[in-house]
Amino acid sequence: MENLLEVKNLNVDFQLEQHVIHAVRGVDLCVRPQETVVVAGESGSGKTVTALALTRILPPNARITAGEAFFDGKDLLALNERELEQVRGSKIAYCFQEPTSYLNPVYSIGEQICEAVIFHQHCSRKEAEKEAARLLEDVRIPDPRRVLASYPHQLSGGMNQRVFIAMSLACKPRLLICDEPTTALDVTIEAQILQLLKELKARHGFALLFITHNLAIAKKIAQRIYVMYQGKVVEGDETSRIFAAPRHAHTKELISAYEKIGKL
Amino acid sequence: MIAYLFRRLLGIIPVLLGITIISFIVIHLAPGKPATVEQSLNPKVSPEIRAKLYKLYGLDKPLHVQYADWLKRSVRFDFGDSFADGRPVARRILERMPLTILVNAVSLVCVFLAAIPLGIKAAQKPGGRFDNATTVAVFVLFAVPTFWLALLLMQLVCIRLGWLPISGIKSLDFEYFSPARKVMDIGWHLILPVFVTTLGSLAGISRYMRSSMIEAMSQPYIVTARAKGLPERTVVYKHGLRNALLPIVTLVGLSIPGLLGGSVIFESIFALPGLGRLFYEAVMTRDYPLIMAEVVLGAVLTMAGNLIADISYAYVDPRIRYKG
Repeated sequence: MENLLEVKNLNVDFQLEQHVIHAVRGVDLCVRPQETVVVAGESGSGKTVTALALTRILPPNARITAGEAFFDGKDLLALNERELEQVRGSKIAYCFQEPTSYLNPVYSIGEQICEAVIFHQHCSRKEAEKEAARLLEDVRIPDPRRVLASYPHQLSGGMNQRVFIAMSLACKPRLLICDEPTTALDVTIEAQILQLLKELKARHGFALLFITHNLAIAKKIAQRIYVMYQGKVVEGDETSRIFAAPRHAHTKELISAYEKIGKL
Repeated sequence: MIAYLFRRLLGIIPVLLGITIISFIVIHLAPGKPATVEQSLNPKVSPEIRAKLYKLYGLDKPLHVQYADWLKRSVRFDFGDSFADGRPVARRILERMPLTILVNAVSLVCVFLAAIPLGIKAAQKPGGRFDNATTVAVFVLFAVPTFWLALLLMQLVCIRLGWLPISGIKSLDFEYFSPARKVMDIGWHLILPVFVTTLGSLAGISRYMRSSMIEAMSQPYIVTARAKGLPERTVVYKHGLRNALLPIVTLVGLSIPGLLGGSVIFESIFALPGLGRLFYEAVMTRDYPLIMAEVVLGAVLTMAGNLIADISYAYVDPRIRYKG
C-alpha cells in the first residue's frame, strides 16, 4: 500500500550555548494509512524531536539540517509557514504527555477546542460549540456541557487527556501523533485511554504514530515498531518479528529487561 | 468573595495603626519644631509666646496623648488644620490632588503602553538585535537620574528650542483663554513632566514584560497552540500574551500608590503645584497634621493597590479564586 507518511534521512540539531547536539540522525520511517506504528526508545533517543520536526513545531534553538518528510506525496519540510498551518491540526494532529500543562490554563476547554474548529473549518462560533460538545461525547466524556465551561486545572489528568484527544480529532486528521500520552497517568487510566484510542481509530480511520518508552504498550497496540537509540532508528519491523527475533543489541537489551520484570 | 473582601478590609486596620504610630514617632523624633522656621529668628517672639502656641496646638502633651488625640479626630476624617495657614488639611490635600493624579495616571498609561509592546517584541528573539538594543537603551534611561534628565531636557527643549513651556502648569495669560485653549495650555505644560516620568519607569516594566513573555512562550501549551495549526500571530497574542500579562496586572495594582508618591522630585523641578511638593513643604516646616494626613493617604493607597492587584489577579487567572 502507498505510504501516508514517509520520512527520509531526517536530521535535527540543537544549538546550545557551547556546542551542537545531533538529536536526530538520519531517521527513516514510514506510516501507512490507518496503521498503528510505535516509535520506542529510551528518554533522549530522539523520538519526540522526530515527531515535532514533521510539522516543524520544534523549540527555537532546533534546526532541521537535512531530510524529507512526504505526507500525501508532499514534502512537509519544504512547505512554508502558511502551508504548514493548513497541515497542522487538520491533517496531522498531536497529543502530548502531561495533558494538563499542554492545555492553556487561562482559557476554558470549550474555547480551546472551538478555536481549532473555527480556524480549520471556517464555521461560526455556535456551530463550533456544537461540534466541541459532540467531540467530547465521542471521547466518552460524561456531561460535555459542564466540561466545556471548565478550565484545565479543574479536571483530572485522565480527563484532560480525553479533552486533548477530542481537540486533536477536531478536524478529522489523517495522522494522529501521540507522544507518550499515558506516561503521566496511572495504570487504570492508561488502559482506558489506550482502549479509547483503539475505538476512535476504528471509527475514524486515522493512522496512529505512537511514541513510547514502554515496550509492553508497544507490543499491545503496534503493527510495526521502530526502535530508536541515540538519535537513530536502529531497528524497524513488524511487531511480532521484533519481539521474536530482535536484531539490534539495544532492542535485545530492552526486551530482556521487560521480560525480567515479567511485563511482557 | 464577599467574605474574602471583608477579611482583607479588616486586615487593613492593624496595618494602618502600625504605620501611623511609627510615622508619628519618627516625625516627632526629627529635630526642629513647627514654629522654628518662622519665629526663631524673630526677636519679637519670646519663649513664653512660643510655649503658649505649643499649648494651643497640644504639642506640650506627652507623645502618646498627642497620638490618641490625633487618632480620635482622624477616625472621624478630621485631620486637623495645617500649621502653615490654618486651613483644614483635608482641603489643602484635595485641592492639590487632581494635578498629581493627572500627571501620574497619564504617565502610568504611557509607561504600560510603551513597555508592553517593547517587552513582547524583545521576547520574540531573546538575545537578538532588537532585544539587545532595547536592553541598553532602557538601562541607560534607568541609570540616568530623573532630575538630571529633566534639567537637560528643559535646557534643550524649553530654552534652546523654545518648543515647550519651562515650568508651572498655566501660562501667564491663562485667565483670558477660551475653555478649549485652557485645556490645551495645561496639556502643553504637562508634556515634559509626563515624558520624564514615563522614561524613568520604562526600564523596569519593559524588562518585566520581556521575561514574562519569554517564560510564557516556552510553556508546553504554546507547542499545543502551534500544533493546532493556529497562525503565529494568534499563538503569540492570544496564548502567549494572555499568560504573560498575568504578573503585569499585579504590577498595575502595585503602581497605584505611586500615583501620589513619586511626585516629590519632578513636581519640585517643574514647579507643579501638586501633592508631592505639598508633602515636601509640610516636612520642611514640620507641619505635623499635614504630614500625618499625607502618610495616611499613602498607606491607604498602598493597601488599596495591593487589594486591587489581588482581586484583578483572580479575575484574569481562572486558577485563582479567593475563599473567605
